[in-house]
Amino acid sequence: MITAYACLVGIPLLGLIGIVRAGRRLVAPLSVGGNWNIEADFALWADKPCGDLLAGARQPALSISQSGDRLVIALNNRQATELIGTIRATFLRAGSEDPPASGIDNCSAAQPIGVTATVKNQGEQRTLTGTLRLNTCEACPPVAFRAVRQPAQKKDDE
Amino acid sequence: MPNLATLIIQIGVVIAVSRLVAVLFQKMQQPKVMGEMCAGIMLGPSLLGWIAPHVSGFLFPPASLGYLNALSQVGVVIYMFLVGLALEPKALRKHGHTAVLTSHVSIIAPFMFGALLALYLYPRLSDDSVGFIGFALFMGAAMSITAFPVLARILSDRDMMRTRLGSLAIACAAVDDVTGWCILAYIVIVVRSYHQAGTPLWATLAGLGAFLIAMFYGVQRLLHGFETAFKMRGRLSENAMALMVVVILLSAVATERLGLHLLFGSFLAGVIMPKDGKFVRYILDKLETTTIVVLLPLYFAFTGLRTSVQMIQGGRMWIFCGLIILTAVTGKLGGSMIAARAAGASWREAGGLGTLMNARGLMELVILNVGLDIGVITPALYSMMVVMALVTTFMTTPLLEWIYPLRLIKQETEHEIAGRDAAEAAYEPA
Repeated sequence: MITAYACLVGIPLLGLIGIVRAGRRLVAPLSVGGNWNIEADFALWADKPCGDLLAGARQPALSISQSGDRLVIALNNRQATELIGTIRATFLRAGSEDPPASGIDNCSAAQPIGVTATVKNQGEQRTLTGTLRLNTCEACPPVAFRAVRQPAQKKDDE
Repeated sequence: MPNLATLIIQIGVVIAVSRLVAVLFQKMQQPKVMGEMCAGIMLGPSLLGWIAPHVSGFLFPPASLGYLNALSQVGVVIYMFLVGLALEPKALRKHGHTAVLTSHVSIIAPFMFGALLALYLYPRLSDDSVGFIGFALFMGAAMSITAFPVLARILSDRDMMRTRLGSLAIACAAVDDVTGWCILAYIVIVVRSYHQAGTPLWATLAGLGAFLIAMFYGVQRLLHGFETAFKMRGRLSENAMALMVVVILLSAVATERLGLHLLFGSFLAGVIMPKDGKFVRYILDKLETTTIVVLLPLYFAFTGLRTSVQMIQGGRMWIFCGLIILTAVTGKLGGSMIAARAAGASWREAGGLGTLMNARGLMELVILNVGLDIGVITPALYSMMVVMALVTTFMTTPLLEWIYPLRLIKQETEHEIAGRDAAEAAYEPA
């Protein structure tokens, strides 16, 4: 019984110690999940056909759900636009999966949107710096933005 | 203020759907709780939100979920007390070495497999807001948990409580649960100290020490007072019941304030309760019905609303999910089976024990919700683990029937009773 105990409990325990030591070297993708407040010159699109896309947007304008390197980004606009993306090292890329809507103006909110950004650490704060663009619309130039992540809400405050 | 009408509609719908699905699952020879768990998932974005988003939006508007969550948390706080109350540490002594070896291996083997899987999943499904140690320990704990209440239900449904296998499984599951919750408490402390948020580590540890001393040397005496009163009158007064509930809630709040989680406090309050059989049955009868029929389905629904099978998108994610299920089954079922066999059980008995220990049920959902709350797992990983909990619980009854058919259990029980009668007759004085 003692031998069985030593083998069946001792060996996995040693294995566990080895795993923990090996895992310390692993690097996980940067955390970007949460709500982000955006600072951008959306006035650039105000009088353009795509202005509708951001007209009703409210802060926090980006809500990111992250699972490893996979991201689901929800824009807090009237259409509740959802983008699928990835993060590789510090570079974030996301876009709407829907194909371009045919028969609709190339600059409408139903057209594919793309976001590219770089993640930076500024002290305790994590920021995103990048551009938001409508892939099919030449009339609307890409808008540069900077986003700051809101601190995670405590459970008590929910 | 909550929209009361919305909340009442939600409660009504959740209870009705969970009873309906539970009955359907019973017809499929599954424990009711399995149906209730599935009903919760069905009410979430995985089914209702997917096929009828407008109905889902009407029934469960995001603004109303805080109240539903609060009610469901109260339910699970009381339920964890009942789980702690039903634990019987003496059961372990009855089975000696077999139970000690099997219960220890049934924790450490799946724990190691879970941590091993974490090596692969950490860079793929986690992020740098969680350290590897916290992630690996959580994966290990989530793999090693056993659904003590579901297991008890399955054994009782199959009339296996009095068999050697049944009582051995109950003893091992009790050890697993207590160990699992101690490990989870440690993980919460590790993760929260990694975030350097909330209560400082030293305050948590010092407070926890003081709390345990107060519970074991102060509150336990008060609880024994309840038992004495019960033995004298055969019942407890309403005031005594109210005081007991207050003790449970205060204990839960204390662990939450210490930076752990509500559930540790209520579970501990149950563990330190006196274990006299009649007294335990009386408390269970008083608190179980409302908790199980009304409040727990709300917890399943809330879990379901947080679970989205759509998050497991694409072949790569389903491969991860498959790996999680495979690891969970190999570690728990395989580990328990080999340990029981090494301790002298037959292959059939060892297989039956492994199958029973592999049921994770509600306990797994509780541990996963704690993990999601403290941010140690991501929503997609949470959804995969919920699928694993459902699969491992669902497979228990059919697999057990295959390994240890009911006709065999009946034969063995009859043999056992006949053997006991013969032994008693032999010792009867002339």
